[in-house]
Amino acid sequence: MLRFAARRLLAALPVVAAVSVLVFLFLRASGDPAAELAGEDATPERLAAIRAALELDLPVWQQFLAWLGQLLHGEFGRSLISGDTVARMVGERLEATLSLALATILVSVLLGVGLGMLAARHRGGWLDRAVGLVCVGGFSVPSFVVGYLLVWWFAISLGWLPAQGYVRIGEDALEWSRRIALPAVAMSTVFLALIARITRASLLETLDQDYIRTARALGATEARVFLRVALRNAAVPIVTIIGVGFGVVLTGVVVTETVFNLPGLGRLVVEAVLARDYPVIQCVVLLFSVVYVLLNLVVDLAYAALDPRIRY
Amino acid sequence: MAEPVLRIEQLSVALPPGAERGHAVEAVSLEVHAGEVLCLVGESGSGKSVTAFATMGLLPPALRITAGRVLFHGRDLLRLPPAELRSLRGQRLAMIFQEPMTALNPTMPAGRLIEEPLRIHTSLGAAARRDRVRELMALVRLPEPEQLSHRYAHELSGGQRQRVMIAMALALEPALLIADEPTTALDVTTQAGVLALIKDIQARTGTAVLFVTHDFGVVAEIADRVAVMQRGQVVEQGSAEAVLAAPQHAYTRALLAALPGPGNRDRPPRPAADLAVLEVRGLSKTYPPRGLGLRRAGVAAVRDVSLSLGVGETLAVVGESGSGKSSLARCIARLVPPSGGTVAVAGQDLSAPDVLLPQLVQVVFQDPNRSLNPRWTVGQSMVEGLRNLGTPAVEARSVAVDLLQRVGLGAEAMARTPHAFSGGQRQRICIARALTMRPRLLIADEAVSALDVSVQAQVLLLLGSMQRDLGFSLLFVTHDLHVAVQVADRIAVMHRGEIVEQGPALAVFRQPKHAYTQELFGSAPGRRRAWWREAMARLD
Repeated sequence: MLRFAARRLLAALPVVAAVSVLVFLFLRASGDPAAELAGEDATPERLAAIRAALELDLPVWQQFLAWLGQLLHGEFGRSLISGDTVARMVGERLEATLSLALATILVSVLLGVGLGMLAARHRGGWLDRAVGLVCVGGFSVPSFVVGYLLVWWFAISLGWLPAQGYVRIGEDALEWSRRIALPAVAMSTVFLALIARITRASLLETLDQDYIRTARALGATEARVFLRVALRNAAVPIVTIIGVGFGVVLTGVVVTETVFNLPGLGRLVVEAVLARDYPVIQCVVLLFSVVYVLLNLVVDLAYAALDPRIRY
Repeated sequence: MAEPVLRIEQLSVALPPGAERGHAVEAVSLEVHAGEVLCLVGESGSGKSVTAFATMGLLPPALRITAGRVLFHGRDLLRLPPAELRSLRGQRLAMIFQEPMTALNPTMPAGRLIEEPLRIHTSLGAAARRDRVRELMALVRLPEPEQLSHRYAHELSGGQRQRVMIAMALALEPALLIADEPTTALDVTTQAGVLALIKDIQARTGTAVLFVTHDFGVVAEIADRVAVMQRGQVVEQGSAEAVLAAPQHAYTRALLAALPGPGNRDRPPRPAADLAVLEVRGLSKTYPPRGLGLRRAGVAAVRDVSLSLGVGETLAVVGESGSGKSSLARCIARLVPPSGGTVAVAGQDLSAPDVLLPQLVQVVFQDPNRSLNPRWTVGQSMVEGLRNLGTPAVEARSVAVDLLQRVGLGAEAMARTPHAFSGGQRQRICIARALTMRPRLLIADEAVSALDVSVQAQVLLLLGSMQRDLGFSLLFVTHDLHVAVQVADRIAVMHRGEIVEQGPALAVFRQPKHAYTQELFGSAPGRRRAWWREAMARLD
């Protein structure tokens, strides 16, 4: 198992490297940050001076090597626009995004698996149909619409929760949870629906298996059959979809962060892209690709833990 | 006579509307006494398994019990509140199933599985449960309980799996054990061990056993009494010897007469074929090791096999699962590339790039349900091969219709999809489809193993007559010695990838020389009963 994990991490290095090269090249083909910095009526001399100061006049391969050298020293460079270190900028935004993503996963998994189990237990009944309806709703209403509806209801009409903004968990954990609740629920709707559907389908398939009949023949109660035997055997597809969903959630934070005015990575990336702030974009993309690689590894390891037939 | 453990009175189970008949089980009455094995025997669809499942209260929801009583020690199980029935199940009533691979929870190790009934029904502590699991593993003769109890179902052999299943069923010393085809998925030598185990435990504990099977040899081996079922009804019931050695009902007689064996041979002795259609020299197949990186030796499935097959001749390759017989067939048909050796059909080396394989070799597989594309009409499946070779549609169609008629199906079969046909008819379609290519060699890989005994007899007859008409050579792969001796001119016995014995079919069957062949033949169920041997000899 450890060997497998180590091998998978080594195998992922070229992927991360390729991602960083591609991003580096595409960015430099896409536009000129010096023009953004200098403003609309800058003289050519002024532009050239800015380029020289930011070392953008060097050949691309030299720029790449310089960036690579920084990386190997654990540095991500400085923002071209603000001059802050990228590490600090990203570090400041990481907490909000991670909070949002993890809270979203938590809400989606708890509710999604719960609803899916409910639907499978009452297959064909009105509860099953009701859950199906909730899932269709979750799939079809965009998260920003859900977000605004939640704000209107819980924040404006009822006044129970704040409408926007973020408080660090270290400052005030209760206030943090009040701020993160609405965006997490808004973001979880699609994901929740997906998990509920997969859970239902996987459970129904498992409930058809011969070993379920064996469990009943041994006198197991329906609750035992359902929770101890069926759910465990139905887990692999559910874990797969949770893994995929986590990735989707990470990329989906942009819209929700905007709606709820959260200082997260999503908004940082949008600002950086608009300003062609190369080092910031590169750092965030690199970070995300590493997260994806780790995520896939965790999912694969979870397979082996859940199903003894899967061994690496 | 003492009160029976189980008394089924006039049990009827309705099939869902639209089924071919109204009832799966109709007015069935049975008794099973303590210390007795009652075999319920019949072909698929006869209602024998439905009767067993109705007794356990495990019928699928689509099947409804319409009449009758199922009395267990005098209490009617059909009218018991669910909680009370549940407390009987696994404790007083236990069941073992046909396919232990799918019947065992794949995510629980063996020890934990055997522990499950103890957890459900008793308040024993962990240490006491562990001791009982050890006892049970010893009882069912599972070796090395320490290691085995940590293995999962997929890491056990077929026989070990069924022993785990039996240990689960016996954990709380039930008064009634219901066994639904418990040895059907096992090899014949493994089956012999499991049957002996059930019989032995039953003699020691006095458990009443209701044993469902389609195999008369198994009945002869294990039954005290037998009930023969046909189309949902019990047509004959009595002591095993009375029913099997002197059957009264016409259906029982027909079933016994359909049993494969030398008595049903329809092959005149033939001189050794001069012209070889199939020539296999030094064939071997080693499967690469699974998994990455680790240096492990591959699995040698076929080792240095040589054989030849003449024009119109049939060679049966007999062996247990894992003997390499299917790998051999697959290598010959080049469904998998051999690791070494040569295969020539009609003088053409099959590894040559320009060889027209489909016209030389065709294969009929075990399961006709999975061999036919369910979304295609039979006509589409039948003409596909010829059309791929560029035969005009009209001509391909006429070949297909001709062959369908030869296998006993009409031209109207062309327009229908496979699910409109029974298992036996589907296998006929598969045979006809293989023969559209006019192959020189037909390989039948366990082609009748999934069929009921009467259907099997028909398909075997059909294969023989098609062979006489069309003149192909037949390589018949089977685990069933009796089928082999019925269809083949020669038999080759495979064991661990090698052919250990080869010779004329009757000679190998009557005087096996190799120790493994003798063990294989000696394991055939029912052989230790003199009256069964005599009855079989009369059929021969």
